[in-house]
Amino acid sequence: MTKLLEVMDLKTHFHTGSGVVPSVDGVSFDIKKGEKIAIVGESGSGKSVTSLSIMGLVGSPGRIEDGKLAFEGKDLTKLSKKEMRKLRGNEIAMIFQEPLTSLNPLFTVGNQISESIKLHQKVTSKVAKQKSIEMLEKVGIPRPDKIFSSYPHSLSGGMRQRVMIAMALSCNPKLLIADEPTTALDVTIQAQILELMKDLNEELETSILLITHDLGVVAEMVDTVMVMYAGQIVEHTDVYTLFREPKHPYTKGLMDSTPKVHMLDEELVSIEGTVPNPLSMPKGCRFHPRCQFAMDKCVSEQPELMELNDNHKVRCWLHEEKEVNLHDLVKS
Amino acid sequence: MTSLNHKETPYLLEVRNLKKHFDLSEGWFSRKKVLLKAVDGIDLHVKHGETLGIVGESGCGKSTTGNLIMRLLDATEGEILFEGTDLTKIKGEELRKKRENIQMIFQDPFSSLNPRMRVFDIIAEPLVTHGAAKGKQLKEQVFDLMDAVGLDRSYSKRYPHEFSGGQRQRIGIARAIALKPKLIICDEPVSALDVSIQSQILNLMAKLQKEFDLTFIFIAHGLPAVKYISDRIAVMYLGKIVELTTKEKLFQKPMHPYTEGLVAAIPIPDPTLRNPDGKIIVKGDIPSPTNPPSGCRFHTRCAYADETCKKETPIFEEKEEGHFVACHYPLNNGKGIIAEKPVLAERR
Repeated sequence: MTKLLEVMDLKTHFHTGSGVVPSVDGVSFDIKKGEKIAIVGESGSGKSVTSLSIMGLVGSPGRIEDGKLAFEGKDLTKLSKKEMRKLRGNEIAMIFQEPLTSLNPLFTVGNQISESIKLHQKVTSKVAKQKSIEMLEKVGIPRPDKIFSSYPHSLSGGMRQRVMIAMALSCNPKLLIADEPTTALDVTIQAQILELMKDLNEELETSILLITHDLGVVAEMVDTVMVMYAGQIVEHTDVYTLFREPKHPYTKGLMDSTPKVHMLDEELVSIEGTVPNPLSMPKGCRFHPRCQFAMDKCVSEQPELMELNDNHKVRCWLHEEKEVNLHDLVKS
Repeated sequence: MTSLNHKETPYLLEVRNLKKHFDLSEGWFSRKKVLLKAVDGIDLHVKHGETLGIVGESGCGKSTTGNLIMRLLDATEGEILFEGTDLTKIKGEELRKKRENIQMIFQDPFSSLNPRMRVFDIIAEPLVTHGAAKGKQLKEQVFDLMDAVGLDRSYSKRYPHEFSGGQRQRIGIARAIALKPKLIICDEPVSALDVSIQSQILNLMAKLQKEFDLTFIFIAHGLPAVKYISDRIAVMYLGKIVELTTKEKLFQKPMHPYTEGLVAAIPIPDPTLRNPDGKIIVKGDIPSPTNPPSGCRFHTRCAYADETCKKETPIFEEKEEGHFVACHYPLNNGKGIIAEKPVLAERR
């Protein structure tokens, strides 16, 4: 598979009155054509800022300080505003958590979808309308010609998210960024939307970058996972390896504290403490104050993202000399 | 205690045919009455020392149920028997006395704590209001409560905004257990928290339940958290309870088609269990509670529905011991997500 997007050492910082917040601090990864990849993390981990940086939507006081965002060879950080506008919505599209705030309440749904089609493709209004209705049908909206002329407020949350997806996919983007697309939805509706995204990914070969906090959604949806903590990627591997044998204590902690709905007797082991204040990040490994395996080295020196093999990267001193199995480490 | 309002019940709490209808009619002279039947005839009981989970999607009436039991809302019809006393019939001092025994923990720890009060005063407030302690004793009790919920004593002079969501929820819990209540109604207590903090709070609640001999009603929209903490679970849909049973039965062999779909819709945190083909997906949207479907309210989304379901409302009854279902055709081999006999060896 060819690389569609390559993110290299991305640093996005926010310059606030009380200091510099390094929301994204040296993030590198790539997305291949047709791949489904997820960034998992808790609030403040920098997962959303990463996606906004790719879209060029980081506003003041935030700024991309450093790094490269190569999308099919073009560096997105070097593009002018006009060039970026051309690309956004056309080649990279995004859907957000709360579809009601992302839709304009004063325009009909159809108006908003055909607007983006007309903006990016040279077609007549009639063709744009036809295309919009086609898209609405594709995302599973019943009576699409009727919904075309209705307003966002008259639709349910699930329907609105379907409309957002229809709009995002109307120009056949190569990459779809979905920032917590199902967090605001009820669980039966969430299942419908995830299924829809999976189907569309297969049918249209759109790559998907999913931003989420829910390990269940990750396990269900994607091929590759990156776990973020305090602005950095702490673990990066394929979904099966990650769930079978997490190598970073934070990843393991997240898994242990996720309720296991498919097991009868479950134990929830929580990670003690809270996410660090971004204005005063801990020295050494940023996770060390909460880590049960922390050693002297973790307090003084920050680990790099080490490569265990071609497919597995982890930011942790435990594996410096040789790979360690965390499950065994807990037992002993 | 007036004998008029007292009824025999073996349970700590028993709710009989509880209804709450909101009048949404507009204008003084409108002839058409628009009623939102948020809770429309539910029956349930809670035993001393257990946790009853109530789950359901938006608009199912789960929060209204909690508010009714707490008497934050007045019921349209029905009985709420707490230790035999019908809470819907009492008021004034008598209600105040009963309320000492029922407390509530709210979803949003940001809006449920007074931003102008210090932590100490927030936790002390119920003790002061109900005249349970004062002076040195009050101070001691508040510090004991802070220890119990894992808050450092040195934080007692701080204000809520200085705390993270998880810590605020601990303050809310300390306040709720201050009067040593018998029943605590928890309305989505962990929904607003991060996963790693959620588990801290859930574990804390389980610990406190043992320590203080508490009974919980745990209301949430998601099954995962409810499953962890509950002994029995009630599933609500559009103002009615559709199924109520032990959590084991609910996850192993659900009898109501809605429960089957709800359980199947939970994303399982294990990629090896993805099954794209056999997955049950509930179709369609949740109908509006102002205009619920006729007959069985789930029939518009149910894969097994027929003419009977459209016309007749199913009765909520005990189909197997301790397993209540409201369905014309309860599932004989409903698909759960936990195998009925879990293979223990596999878990290692």
